[in-house]
Amino acid sequence: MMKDWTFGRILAVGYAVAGAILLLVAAVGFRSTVNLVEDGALVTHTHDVRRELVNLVAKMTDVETSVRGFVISGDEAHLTLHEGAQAGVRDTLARLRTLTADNPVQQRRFADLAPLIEQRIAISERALAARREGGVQAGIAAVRTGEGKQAMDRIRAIVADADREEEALLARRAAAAASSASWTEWTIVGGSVLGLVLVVAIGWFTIRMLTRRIGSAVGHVESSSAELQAAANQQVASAREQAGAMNEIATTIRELIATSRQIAESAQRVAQVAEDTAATSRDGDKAVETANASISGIRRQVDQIVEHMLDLGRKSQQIGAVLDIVSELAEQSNILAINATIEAAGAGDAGKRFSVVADEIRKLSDRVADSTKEIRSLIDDMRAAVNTTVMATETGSKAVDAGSRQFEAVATSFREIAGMIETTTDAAREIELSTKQQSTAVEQVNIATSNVAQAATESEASSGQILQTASELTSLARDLARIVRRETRG
Amino acid sequence: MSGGGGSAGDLRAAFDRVFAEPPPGRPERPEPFLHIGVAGQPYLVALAEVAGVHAGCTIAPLPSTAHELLGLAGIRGEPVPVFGLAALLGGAAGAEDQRWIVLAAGPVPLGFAFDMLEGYRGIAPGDIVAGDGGQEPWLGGTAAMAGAGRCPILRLAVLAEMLAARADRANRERER
Repeated sequence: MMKDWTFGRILAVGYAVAGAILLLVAAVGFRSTVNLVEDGALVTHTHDVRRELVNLVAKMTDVETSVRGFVISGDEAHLTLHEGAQAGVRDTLARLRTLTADNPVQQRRFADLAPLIEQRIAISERALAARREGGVQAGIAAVRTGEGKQAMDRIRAIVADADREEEALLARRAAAAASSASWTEWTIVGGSVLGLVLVVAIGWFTIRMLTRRIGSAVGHVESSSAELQAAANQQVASAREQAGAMNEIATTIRELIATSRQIAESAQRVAQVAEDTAATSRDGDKAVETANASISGIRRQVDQIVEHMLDLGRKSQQIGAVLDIVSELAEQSNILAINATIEAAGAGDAGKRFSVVADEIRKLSDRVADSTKEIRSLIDDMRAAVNTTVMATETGSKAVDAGSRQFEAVATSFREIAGMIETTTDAAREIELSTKQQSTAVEQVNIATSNVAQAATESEASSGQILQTASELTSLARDLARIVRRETRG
Repeated sequence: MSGGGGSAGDLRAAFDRVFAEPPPGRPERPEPFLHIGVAGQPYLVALAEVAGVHAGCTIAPLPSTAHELLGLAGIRGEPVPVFGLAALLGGAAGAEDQRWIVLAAGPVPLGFAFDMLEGYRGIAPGDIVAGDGGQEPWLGGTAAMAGAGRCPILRLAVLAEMLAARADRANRERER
């Protein structure tokens, strides 16, 4: 877990632990000192109480002795002492009550002591009054009653009890003070030693950890600086190659600019040729439309020809029918002529002239039959020709239809070609414009390439500086590693 | 000049050709024949054996054992038995449209039907080669026709005699 701590955190934690130890030792020492001071104060307080007890007995003794002096001598000076002793007794008792306010046993004793003191002072006052009024004897007699001694004995007994009480308290408080002093000594000495040991241990641990981590980091820095040096070497070589490549690219781009300008000029010529082609295509379209109209006229003419030829066929059929009649008549005439010839031959000489006529009729019918055959042959040939012509005309009509459709297709193709040429013209213009933009862009690229080449040269110089810095960093890392390892070994 | 020279040359050649020809003798009178077709075969029939030619006559069929007999036809107000020439000449009966009828000259009116009448033909006697038909006695030689080669001559009289003889035999057998 501590491997992930930062240097600042390790140092902060080390100093915090050391400070906590010192704070603990200071707190314990302070507490011991406070206890020691308190125990000392209690001892002093006990001494004060015992001193006031002694003072009380002394003041009561002054009261007793001043009365006896006045009784014996009658000297008023003793009365001054007596009055001062009375006040002192009362003040001392009041201080004792104050000092032992926390001790109920002593409070009860002093409560018992107060009437006895007042009783003794009253006995003294009575002795003084007897002296003044009755003289020495009266005064002595008042003293000889023994009341004063009894009262004093009882006062002394109570004061002795209170003093023993305070003496016992003093013994306990002195022991506590001694114990506090000893504890304070051990706390200071032991805490100091423990704190010193812990601080040394924390310092050793912190130094060891920091040294290890710094050593590792220095090792990494050393290897990284070596790698950086190698990379800087490669970067120098790459920068040189990049500078050379950029020079080549600049040369290529200059050639590209020249080529792009040539392409722009060619695209301009292509656009001009495309416009001329579009105009020619429009003329061709008009010519195709004219030809299409001519073909339509031809088609109508062919239809009329077909109609006429069919009509001719029908007429030839009618002629054939008439010819059949003529042929039949010729055949009947021939039969009649043959039969007439036969009859004429059967009639002998009388039928010779009729035979000649019949022979002429037969010849005529033969000629008619031959002519009919020829006419039929001609009509058949004509009908065959008409049929052939009709078929040829129908074929021509179909060809004209096909030609018309083909011309329509040609016209459509011409229109498509015209549209394509328009598209080609637009494309050529776009190509021209794009090529000009491309030339501009290439010129910008050329400028940028020149800048990049300049940057590559500067990068080469910077790479040299980086290489030098990497070498210095490597040397510095080696020195730091030597220092850290020597410190580690030390 | 050349045109005039050419015309004079032509006139001279015609003059020479006239005198180069032999003097015309008595021309041979051509023999009249009928050129007919029977089942696709051409035949010549001497007009002297023909009593008449008719076409499109209605033939009423008769029940008979002779398959050549087509029936009776009314010609010039008389019933005439009509035989098919194709069947008589060895062909199939009724194979052709036999719309033509030739009447054989003779005491008994007899008609022969055939399918094609080519026409009248006058043939020089020199072009006729006589002969018997052998196993076909109804053929009486051949005759040369201009542009058609030689054509057999059909003897209707022989056919009529053959039919009459067969009828006589049949009558006699029937009488027996």
